[in-house]
Amino acid sequence: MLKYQIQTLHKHYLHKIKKEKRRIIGTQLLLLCVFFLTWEVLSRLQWIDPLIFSMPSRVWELAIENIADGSLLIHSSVTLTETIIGFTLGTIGGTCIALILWWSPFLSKVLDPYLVVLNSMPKVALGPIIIVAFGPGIPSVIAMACLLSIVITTLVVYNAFQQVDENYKKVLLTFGATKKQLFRHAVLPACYPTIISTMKVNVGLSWVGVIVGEFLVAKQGLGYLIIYGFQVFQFQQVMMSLLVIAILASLMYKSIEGLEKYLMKRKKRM
Amino acid sequence: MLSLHNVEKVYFTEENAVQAVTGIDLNVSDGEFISFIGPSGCGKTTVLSMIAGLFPPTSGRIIMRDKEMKGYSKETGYMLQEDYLFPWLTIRKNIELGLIITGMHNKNTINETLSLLKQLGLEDKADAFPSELSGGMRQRAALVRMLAPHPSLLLLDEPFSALDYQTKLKLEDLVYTTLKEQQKTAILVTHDLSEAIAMSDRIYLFQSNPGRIHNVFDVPETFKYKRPLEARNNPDFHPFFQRVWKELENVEVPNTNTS
Ligand SMILES: Nc1ncnc2c1ncn2[C@@H]1O[C@H](COP(=O)(O)OP(=O)(O)OP(=O)(O)O)[C@@H](O)[C@H]1O
Ligand SMILES: [Mg+2]
Repeated sequence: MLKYQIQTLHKHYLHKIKKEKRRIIGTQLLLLCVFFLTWEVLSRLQWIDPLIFSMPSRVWELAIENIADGSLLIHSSVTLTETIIGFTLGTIGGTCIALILWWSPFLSKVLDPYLVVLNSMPKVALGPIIIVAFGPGIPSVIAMACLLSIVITTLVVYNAFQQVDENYKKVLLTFGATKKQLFRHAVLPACYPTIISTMKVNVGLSWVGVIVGEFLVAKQGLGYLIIYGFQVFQFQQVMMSLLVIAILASLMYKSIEGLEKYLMKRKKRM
Repeated sequence: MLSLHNVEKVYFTEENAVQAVTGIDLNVSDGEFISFIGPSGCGKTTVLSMIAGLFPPTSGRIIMRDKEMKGYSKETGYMLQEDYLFPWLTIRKNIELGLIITGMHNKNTINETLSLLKQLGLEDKADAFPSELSGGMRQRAALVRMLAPHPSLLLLDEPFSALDYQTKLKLEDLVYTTLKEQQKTAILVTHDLSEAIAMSDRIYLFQSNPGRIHNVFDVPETFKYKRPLEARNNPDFHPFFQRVWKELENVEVPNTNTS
């Protein structure tokens, strides 16, 4: 009797959770529809300038057109590729530099002030120098994305390496561990959570780097579409590019989250 | 198997130099069970760390099996004051860690280690994470981790201090019998005098400022070879406890150093 009661209560509880989830998603979708609808209506009624803000239906038309002639795909894939490469280089490069600093305390002390300067420096200001160094093309864009994320990754991950509890290292040292083993078995795994959260931050930073880079030099890509649309007063193109960027960036963020969840689950399962 | 000759350790910090221990002389033969007791800060952990090869003594010599110790030796296993199981690894992976680091990771040693885990009653916890274990279970797992690469000299730094009394008594017995079965030599650091008496063959009493050996007690033959639980019930246990206790009080009250 009692057991039966508990079971029904549990079912009830699960049902409630499901219902709440559905309500949240429903409201979220509703909000999105309201946003686009308001935009469309306001624009049509000329309450906001349709020349500047365009309207969803026109943006949609343009998107269909550009998908059909394949140009949107090309621009998106160029930008996405640049972002992913910049992101990967920034994250891995930053982690590797952090490793080198951890390995050599002398070097880390020597480099400390330079890292502080680099970190507080607005990296975008280095744009012209990057273009001169890498040429006016995709390499410059990637370098910009990488530069934006690599310094902060280095600082955050190095800091995490240093914060690892000495006693985990001591445990390994009692087995005669080498420095490499200390890193591989204690320091690095202890810092996985930090590295993952740095990756999340880096997604945003590399998008900033790529778009700014494309503003400056590109002949292709979503950033180029934005700046070009702006120059020729084609604002539906600007809006379309913005929406595509929003979608792609969130997808990238979500896949990092997915990776995190996968790692957590694997950890729990093993 | 182990001897220390006039060992001294000075810690250097930016403000000052701390003389942690000085003039440590001791001998441990094969199969002996030794205890270190003494007030907090008298250098017990320091001595243990030097024997484990974590850092060299500032002066003096540590001889292990007729050879001067330099750094880590395969002979020693060290169990730190807390278990420090790696929270991101399962118990199985945790206890294999010592094997991996020492390069002894193979099917045989893994199976051996797992059967030791079973012997200590943790078989069903092999795939659990440390956070899912009780304090006593974690200590047992840490013990297995230490024993996995077959050290012959075990250094135990207050392994039972975080446990409730009952668990502690049980674990003392378990550790004692496991170590005797495998004919290990052991050095135990503890704050608990009765634990030191129940488990060991000889007791080194330390005093502080600077840390050094104040006195050495041989545990009476009548219960020296008995298991800790039985030893505690021996009629000779209490008189001996009283004797050492007096000395311990002498040491723990500041400015009454008489040696
Ligand atoms: N890394 C260090 N740097 C400087 N001084 C230290 C360091 N480690 C220990 N000491 C000092 O050396 C002395 C002995 O310390 P140790 O940890 O060996 O004592 P202990 O007997 O193990 O104490 P407890 O019973 O509290 O664990 C203490 O005075 C302590 O302040
Ligand atoms: Mg200590």
